[in-house]
Amino acid sequence: MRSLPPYRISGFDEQKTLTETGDTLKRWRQNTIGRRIGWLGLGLLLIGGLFTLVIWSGPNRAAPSEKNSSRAGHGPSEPIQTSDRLPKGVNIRQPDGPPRVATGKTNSLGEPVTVQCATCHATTESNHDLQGVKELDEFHQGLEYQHGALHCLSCHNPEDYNTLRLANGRSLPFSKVKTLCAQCHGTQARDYRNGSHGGMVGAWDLSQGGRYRNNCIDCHDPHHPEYPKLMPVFEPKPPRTAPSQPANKEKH
Amino acid sequence: MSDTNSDSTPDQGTSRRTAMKAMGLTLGAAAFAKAIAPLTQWTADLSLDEFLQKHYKELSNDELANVIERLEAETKEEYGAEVEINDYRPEPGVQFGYALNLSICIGCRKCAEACHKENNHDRASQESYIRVLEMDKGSTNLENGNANYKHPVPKSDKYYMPVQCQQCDYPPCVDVCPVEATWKENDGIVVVDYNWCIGCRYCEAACPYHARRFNWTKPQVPKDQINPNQGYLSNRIRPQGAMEKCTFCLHRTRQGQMPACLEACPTGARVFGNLLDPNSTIRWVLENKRVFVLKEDLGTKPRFYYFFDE
Ligand code: HEC
Ligand code: HEC
Ligand code: HEC
Ligand code: HEC
Repeated sequence: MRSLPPYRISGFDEQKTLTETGDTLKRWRQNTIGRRIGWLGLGLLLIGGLFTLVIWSGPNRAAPSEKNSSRAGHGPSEPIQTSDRLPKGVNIRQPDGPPRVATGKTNSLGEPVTVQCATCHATTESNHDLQGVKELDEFHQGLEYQHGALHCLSCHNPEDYNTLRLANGRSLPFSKVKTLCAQCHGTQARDYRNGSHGGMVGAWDLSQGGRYRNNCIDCHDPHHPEYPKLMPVFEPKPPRTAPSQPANKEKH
Repeated sequence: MSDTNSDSTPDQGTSRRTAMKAMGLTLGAAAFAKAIAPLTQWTADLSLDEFLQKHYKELSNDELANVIERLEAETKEEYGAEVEINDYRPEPGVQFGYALNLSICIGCRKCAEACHKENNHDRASQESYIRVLEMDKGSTNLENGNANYKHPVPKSDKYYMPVQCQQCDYPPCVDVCPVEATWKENDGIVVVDYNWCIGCRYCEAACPYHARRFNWTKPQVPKDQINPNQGYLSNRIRPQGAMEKCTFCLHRTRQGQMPACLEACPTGARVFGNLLDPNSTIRWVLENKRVFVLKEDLGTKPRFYYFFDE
């Protein structure tokens, strides 16, 4: 582990209790009353100062821990329905199994007919010398491909097209595709394991809910993994401004 | 009537309340508020209940329950929406922190949009607590960031910096509030008592991150778009004339859930969690990435960290 960056918990450390940090803050703020009065401006000094004094002589608030259990109006800790309460634990999406290829035909119900990779590849000779997608003239035409200088068989397993293949030759089920990516992208795989790559939804506190995570291939197409460019949504609009003044408002 | 402020002596409580009341009903509060609040003349329709409502920290459980009931009824009446407002409290042992990976963010603004929906923002102005700045690679000057880009992203010579409330440990906005309507809670979230706020906007001016928003008008949200899961100190519909700000979605995060902006991020650039939990993802980031904070020299001590992958 590297040495800790200077900001790590910005003034809070685990040893300090919550009340202590709260008190520090309070003291710091009390020292700045003078400055606050400055902010109020001369004309308001008197009233502002009076207000400030009244407020600062007010009672200390209860520590939230004492109040924590109360949920006004709705009885104690009623479960809150957030839209995405998930089953407990961290669930990472996995492909169910090998992908299937559409044949372009439909069955009697009008559904597209798909076949497993091995349907053809069990009998087709693998092309170990394939130089690029452009050479695919019989099948898989139109496959968009832009991933370093990788050969198809860096990932696909010529012994069994229903599986993937690691660099050491071992076969790997499609459901474990992350392991395939991780062998060449160790940094991102480590960041992913630690939550700083790949995102998540659900609970930050796993004792209160589950978490769901995308697989590498949900964001990166293995054949052209560059994250796609997007059109930004939600173009900012000018902020609200003061409503036009009512007619009866006296002029100064 | 029970009083939650069990550690306060009754004397102080009474004197403060009496003083406030006296001022409120005679000259002080009214003159003061009118002098500095831009919207006084438009909020004349404020109900008496609302006007006399105590500060959040002063409300007993019963009083708060009544206030919440009133607010729920008002939402029903004015917006036609059935909502549930809860008073989510900080949990002991939790200090929230947020980090954003600038190598990953592509500037798609889905976070800003999610914030808009989650927090019941005014629709017409597309209010959001998040502003995404398009920045020149190599520059970190926020003031040069452009929020109004409209081309496919990311552009190769740019990077994108979403900015929202930094939940500073030394928040200048809290410091300038003349009526203590905004404060830092024990889990690190800076909140606003929307009903106590007098709308003087000092906090808005004091925030170095331009993170506060002012309700110049009553927020307009169609009934079927209102998020009914609401927090008293977070996403309940704000009154006109009140200041508002990002609360790290405390109505979600104080229930163990992620903030809405994080869940909406399609790229996975955002990391959120408990700074006190050594096994949390946020701690991993702080310990393994070179993080920085915005405008560090101001000494505000943000709880929002940025980093690049190396
Ligand atoms: C309908 C038959 C058919 C199916 C189904 C099929 N392929 Fe192929 N595939 C071919 C043919 C034919 C070639 C040779 C193409 C060429 O050389 O132009 C090929 C070539 C390939 C290659 C290039 C290397 C090599 O072995 O020549 C890969 C990798 C490959 N297929 C993977 C797959 C995978 C993975 C699947 C399942 C998702 C699949 N294929 C399904 C017919 C098929
Ligand atoms: C980086 C590893 C990798 C390389 C290199 C690679 N593939 Fe794939 N390929 C995969 C993975 C993983 C899947 C499964 C994707 C899924 O489940 O969505 C796949 C799926 C497929 C499929 C079926 C689904 C589809 O996208 O049509 C075909 C066909 C295929 N690959 C052909 C090829 C060919 C031909 C090449 C060489 C030009 C190639 N692949 C190179 C990893 C790779
Ligand atoms: C055999 C090694 C290998 C495997 C396996 C592999 N990659 Fe790559 N990947 C590369 C190389 C080489 C590059 C090109 C790096 C460069 O251009 O600097 C690359 C580039 C990338 C990029 C950057 C693309 C860009 O243009 O921005 C992404 C994203 C990526 N890979 C994702 C994946 C994913 C996801 C998988 C698993 C499905 C995977 N890779 C499997 C070797 C691999
Ligand atoms: C939630 C979506 C998401 C997931 C899941 C995800 N990534 Fe990424 N990844 C990204 C984005 C976004 C980028 C940055 C793209 C950019 O800047 O254009 C990226 C960048 C990369 C890069 C390129 C880094 C560079 O410096 O160019 C690699 C390699 C990569 N990811 C690998 C992986 C691997 C391996 C996994 C699975 C362990 C994974 N990613 C999971 C979204 C994702």
